Amino acid sequence: MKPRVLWIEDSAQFELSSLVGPIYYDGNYDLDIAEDVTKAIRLMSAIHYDVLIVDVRLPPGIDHHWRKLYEKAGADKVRAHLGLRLLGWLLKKENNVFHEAPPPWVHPTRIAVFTVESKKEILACLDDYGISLYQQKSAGHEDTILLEMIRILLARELAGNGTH
Amino acid sequence: MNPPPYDGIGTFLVFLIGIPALVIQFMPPEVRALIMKRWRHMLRFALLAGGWIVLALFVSTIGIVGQLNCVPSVTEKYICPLFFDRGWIWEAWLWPLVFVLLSSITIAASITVITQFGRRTKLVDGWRGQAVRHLNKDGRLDPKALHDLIDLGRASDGGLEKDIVLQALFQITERVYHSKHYEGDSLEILLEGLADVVVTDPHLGNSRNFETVMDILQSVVAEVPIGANGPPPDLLHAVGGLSTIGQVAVRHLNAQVAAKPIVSGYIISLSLAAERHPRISTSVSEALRDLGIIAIETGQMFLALKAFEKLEIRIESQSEHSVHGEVVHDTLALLAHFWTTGPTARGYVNKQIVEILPYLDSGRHDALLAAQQHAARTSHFQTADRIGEMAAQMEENT
Repeated sequence: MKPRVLWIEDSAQFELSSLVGPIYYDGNYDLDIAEDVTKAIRLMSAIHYDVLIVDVRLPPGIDHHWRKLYEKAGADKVRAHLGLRLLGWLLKKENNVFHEAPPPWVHPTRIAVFTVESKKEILACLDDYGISLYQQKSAGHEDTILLEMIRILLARELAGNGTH
Repeated sequence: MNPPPYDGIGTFLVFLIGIPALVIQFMPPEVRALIMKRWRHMLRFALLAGGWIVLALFVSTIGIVGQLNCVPSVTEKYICPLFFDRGWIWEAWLWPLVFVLLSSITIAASITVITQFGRRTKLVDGWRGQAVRHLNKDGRLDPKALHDLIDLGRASDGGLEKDIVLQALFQITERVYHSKHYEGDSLEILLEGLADVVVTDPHLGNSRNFETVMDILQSVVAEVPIGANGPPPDLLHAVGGLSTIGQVAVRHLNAQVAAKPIVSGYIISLSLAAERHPRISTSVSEALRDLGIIAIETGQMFLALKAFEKLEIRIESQSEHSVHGEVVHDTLALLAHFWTTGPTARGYVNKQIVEILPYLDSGRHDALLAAQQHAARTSHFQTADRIGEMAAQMEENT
C-alpha cells in the first residue's frame, strides 16, 4: 500500500496548490487534504496516516468545541494557533483541549510542521512536542517541497530516527 | 361622565390585528407556503397571534365595563366624596392604565409574532427540535419535520438561506450519532433530501452550500456504526449523495476558486466510505470514475488525478487476491479518458498502467477488453470507444 499522507492546511488548494501536483504526478503517496481542524480530526479518526503535515494557522471548522477555542482567541487564526493546539491534543501534551481521545498511531516522528511562522516563534513548542521536521512557508520555494518533506519523514520513520 | 374612548381602543385593536397580517405579508413565500401546508403550524400561528388579540379585547372590555358600571359606584362610595369628582378620577387613572396595558400587549405581540414566525432561523430551530424529539425514545427522526426542513431548503435561495437549513440538518445528524439507538439506519430521508436542497433548479446551492453538504456526508461516512451485517443503509445513502452531488459540484463550481477543496472533499469521503466497508467498493469506484471523467471534460486535471489516485488505492487494497471486476474496469475507463487528452496525459497513463498491472488477474490487453465490454454493457458508449482507442494505440506502440 502507498504511504498515506494528511496535509492539514487551509490554503492547500489555493495559493499552495502547486505543491500538490508533484505528489499526485509522482503517484507514490495517497495524499488527503483537510482544510480545517474538524475535517482533520474526522479523517484521522477513520484513517491511519503514515505522515501528517500540519499548518499552525488553521480555521476550526464546524465543530463547536474548536469554534469556541477559536472565538476565545478573537476569531483570529494567527492568535488562535489551532494547529499547535491540535498537535498538543494529538501528542497528548495538552489536556482538556478536546474531549475525544487522540488516534493511537500518532507519533511526533510522523509529523512535520509547514507554516508561515518562523521557527523562533514556535521552537519551544516543537521541542516540547518532539516534532522532528519544520519548514517555513516562503515565496519562491520549490514546487516539490512538500514531496521532499514527505520523503524525509518516511525515510526517518524507516530509519527509526526522529531527531531534528 | 365621558363615554369610553372607543376610537383609541379600536386603533389599538386594528394595529394588533395588523401585526400578524404584516408578518404573513412580509414572510418569504417559501416560508409562508410551509406554514400554510401544515395545520399544526397554522394553529400555532393562529394561537399566538389570536391570543394577544383576545387578551387586548379582555383588557379593553374591563375598561369599558368598569367605566360604565362598576367603578363609578366604587369611587362614589369611597373616593370621590373625599377627594375628586367621580368621573374625573376614573378617566384620570383607569384609561391610562388600560392604554399602558394595551401598548404593552401590542409590543409583546409584535416581538413574539415577528421572532417566532418572521425569522427563518427561529422556524428552522423549531423544526430541528421537532425532528429529534423522539430520537432518545426509538432512535427515529420525525419525518414530517424533516420534510418541512428539506422543502424549505429546496425553495430557499442558494447561499446563506440554504445554509441555515443545511446547518440544522447537520446538527440533526450529530444528534443521531450520539443517540444510543442509532444503528446506521435513521438518516435516509435526510441524506436523500440533501440533493434536493442543494441541486434543485432554480435555487442551486453556492459553494458554501456544497461544502456544508460535503461536511454532512463526510461525517456520516466517518461516524456510521459498521455492524457484522452488510454495509449500513446510511452509508449507502451517503455514498449515493457524494456521487450525485459531487458530480454536480464538479460542473457547477468549475469556475470558482473553492472548487478544488470542496470537490476533493467529496472524493476523499468516497474513498473513506470504501475503507469503512469494502462491500461498497463498486459503488465508490463508479462514483470516482464519473467524477474523474467530468473533471477531465471540464479541464480540472487536479481533481481527475485525485479521483484516479483513490481508484488506484481501491485496487491496491484488494490486492490480497488478483483484482478483477468493476474497480478495475472503472480505473481503466478513467485512464482512457486521460489518454485522449494529449501526449503528456498518455505518458502519465503509461506510467500508471505499469503500476497497476501487477495487481490484475489478467494482462493489459484482456483487462482493457473486459473494461471496454463493461462500459458498453452499462451504456457508457463514449467511454467504451475511448478504451478501445487507447487499447489499439497501446498495441501499435508495442
